[in-house]
Amino acid sequence: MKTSKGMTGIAVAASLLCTVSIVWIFCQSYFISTGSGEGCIVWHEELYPLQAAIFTGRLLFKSMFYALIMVFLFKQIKAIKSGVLFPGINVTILYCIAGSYLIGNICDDNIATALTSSSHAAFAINGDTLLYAALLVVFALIYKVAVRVSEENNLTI
Amino acid sequence: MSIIVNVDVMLARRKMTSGELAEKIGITQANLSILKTGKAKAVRFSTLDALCKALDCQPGDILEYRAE
Repeated sequence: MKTSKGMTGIAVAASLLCTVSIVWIFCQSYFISTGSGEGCIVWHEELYPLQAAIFTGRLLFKSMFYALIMVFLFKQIKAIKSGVLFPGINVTILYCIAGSYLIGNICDDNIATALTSSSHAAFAINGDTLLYAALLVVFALIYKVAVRVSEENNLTI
Repeated sequence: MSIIVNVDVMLARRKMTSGELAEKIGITQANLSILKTGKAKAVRFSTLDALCKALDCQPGDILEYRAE
């Protein structure tokens, strides 16, 4: 009971943080795309597809990442309250979180490329991004095992 | 699965209803239904003990192995 209450508190705090992050990303993207000067997009004819992909990818996948975390926490708390510890749907959500984290962060790491008008801009992938995404996949796989064990436990009479 | 649960047969032999058996062994009717339909993944020794006591039979009367 104490754990459930603590988890609910942490989940509510995390959800608030996620909401703030989503609003922040949208505001940031709005100012990056509409403003002028340093820190704003200078559209380059040759780089336009790459710039557009990075900018949209960052906006879409980063906000998707935070939204999915909120969905995961909401589903987890709902499941705990209904007596099911590991709902199967959360495995899919975790895979989606890992995917959106990977793509969103790759775009975020390369936002400088989208901002610059130089045609010599390099595309980089950060090692940490890959590592954290891999860790999320591992967590999803462990969760998948937990779902199976939980289902078997429920079918033990 | 090749393990068949013959609780239905034993219930008919003892002229007992599922509800009575569930009450006697202290499990819900939903769980007894899972057991009867063969959806159960495992049976606890305590449940098997209670089943044998309530139906006055041996574990072999309830569980049967049939090669697939």
